[in-house]
Amino acid sequence: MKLLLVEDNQELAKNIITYLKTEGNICEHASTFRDATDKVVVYDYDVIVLDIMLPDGSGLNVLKELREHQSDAGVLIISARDSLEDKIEGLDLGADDYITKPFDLSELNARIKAIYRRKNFKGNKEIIFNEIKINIDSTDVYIKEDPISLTQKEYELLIYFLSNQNRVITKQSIAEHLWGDQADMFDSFDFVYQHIKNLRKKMIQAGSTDYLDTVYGLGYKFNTKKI
Amino acid sequence: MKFLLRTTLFYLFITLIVFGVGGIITYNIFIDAIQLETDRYLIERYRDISIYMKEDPGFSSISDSKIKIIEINEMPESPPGRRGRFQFTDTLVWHQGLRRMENNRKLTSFISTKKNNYRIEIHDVIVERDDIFQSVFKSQTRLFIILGVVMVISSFLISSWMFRPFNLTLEKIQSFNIKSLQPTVLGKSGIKEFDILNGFINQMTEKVSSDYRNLKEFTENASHELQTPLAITKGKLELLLQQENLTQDHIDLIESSYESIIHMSKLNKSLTLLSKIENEEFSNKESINVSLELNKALADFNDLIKLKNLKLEKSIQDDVELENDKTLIKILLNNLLQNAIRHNNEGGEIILNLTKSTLIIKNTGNEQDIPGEQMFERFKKGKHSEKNTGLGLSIVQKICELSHYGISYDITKEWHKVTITF
Repeated sequence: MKLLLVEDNQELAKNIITYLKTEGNICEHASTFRDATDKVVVYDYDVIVLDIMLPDGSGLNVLKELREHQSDAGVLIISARDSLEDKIEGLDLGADDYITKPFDLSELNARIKAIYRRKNFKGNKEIIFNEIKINIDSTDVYIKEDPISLTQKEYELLIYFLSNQNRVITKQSIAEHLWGDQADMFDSFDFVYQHIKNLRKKMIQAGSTDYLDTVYGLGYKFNTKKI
Repeated sequence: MKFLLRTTLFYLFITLIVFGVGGIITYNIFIDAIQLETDRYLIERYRDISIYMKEDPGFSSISDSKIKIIEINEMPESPPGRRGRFQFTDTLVWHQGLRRMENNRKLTSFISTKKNNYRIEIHDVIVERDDIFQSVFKSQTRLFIILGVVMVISSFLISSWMFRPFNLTLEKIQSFNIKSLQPTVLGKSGIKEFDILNGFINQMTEKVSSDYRNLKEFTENASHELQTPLAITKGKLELLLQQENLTQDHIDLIESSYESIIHMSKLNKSLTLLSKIENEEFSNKESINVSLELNKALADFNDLIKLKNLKLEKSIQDDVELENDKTLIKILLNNLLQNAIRHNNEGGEIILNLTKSTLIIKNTGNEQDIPGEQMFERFKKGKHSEKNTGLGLSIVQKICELSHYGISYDITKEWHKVTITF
């Protein structure tokens, strides 16, 4: 996957690039509006991660530029402002998704992959990992070609893990991914454990390898090196 | 009551008193003047008679019913009245023409001719006191009415002319809205006091507007600027987690830093939300089906309710409609439900009741030693919750305040009850 990150804050950019690069993605970086428009005009990207507030202009103008060049790159907007107007304007201008600071890198990664899937899996929308097969359209999950029935949350959880393979994902990040703002106020993350326990049980029963590692006190990891 | 109406009424009242006193004075002056004239007239007649009597000692008689001449033997030693030779008295005399007793003025005096001594009494009709009183009263009343009408009309004209700049100032102050961030601009009126007032108001509204703007900008900027470093720190910790060979000690350290960062960003979010609500940024009023929204929110929380083994008892009346901003209502319901679930005991209960006029949420929880109304204070936390922001109920209260809903929080033993009246 070829990515462009438009972000003026060097440290934040470094975080994101480090996280994304480990999966073998090509990740380029532009720190100004000018830089970003130059790159967008010359190169093609699969996904563009765009910070709205840039020192020399609004990131929303990069979106306009993209539209003029009829680019089919997916766009994920990053904003420090949790304001509805920004969200609506960004989505109106053709952005695919919107995330507000401070976000989890695992969440960002999952969103980028979701955009990438939507743009690229034309016709055949499937995620396949070893014995696991997921049909994105019908949300059916198969283990060794046998369908298993997952709840909505378990399904989302599995996709989230598959998007962040071999990463430690914190339970807070999982809670926020599954329940959004509602997770915000909860201090107990037992409910994350409950869902993971159920997902794990269903998958193992269907004959899948137990890929999920518990990182004590912190979170979970989808470990692909277990076979 | 308008300022000018009040002063006019006040002046009219004073005028009424002055007119009353003036009426009494006028009345007395009239009476004195009339009496003086009558007395003078009676003396005049007496002189005519005395000349006539002295020139003609054997006078026959005077045929006039108003004159009485009586023969006496001796002249009295002292003069009859205070005013020298004449004594004046008021008396009643039968009036032939009117056929009734009439007020008369009577002059009594003595005269001595060569032939005899006489007592002379002359009387004549004087103007009645009633008549004088009535005419004085009539004229005073008419004057008073004319004055009153003139005063009311002129005060009205003066008020619209003289008080024009003042009324203009009042209008501008009334239309001043802190959120429009526009200070009032009041011009010169040419009247010193009004100009001082206007100058002061201009200064004050400018200060208020700029303070408000600064505060607003500060809150907005502070929360925006905090988001980026928070995102960086959070990201660094996440990257650190991906390192191989972390010991459990490392993981514990990372975990507690991570939790603090999350707590901070929650605080930041809640404070931003609170200031947004205070700034009335959610003012897109529409008709909202609260029953529907409440059921939706409950469905969202279903997982969590089950997880805590809570028993939910609900009675939600259908189609309860409220005129409000949708986001506000959602935040309100979410925060209340979150509160009821989070502070509940494992296996506790929630009782929900929504009618057209009230929303009551009761839940079991820990007994608290702080009174219910203090639960709305910012950062006020019960003794059993350390990790939450302490802003959830403040947000609820702020929304109720802005929407003019009543809200109360009661704690009886382990039962917590929030009542909202629409």
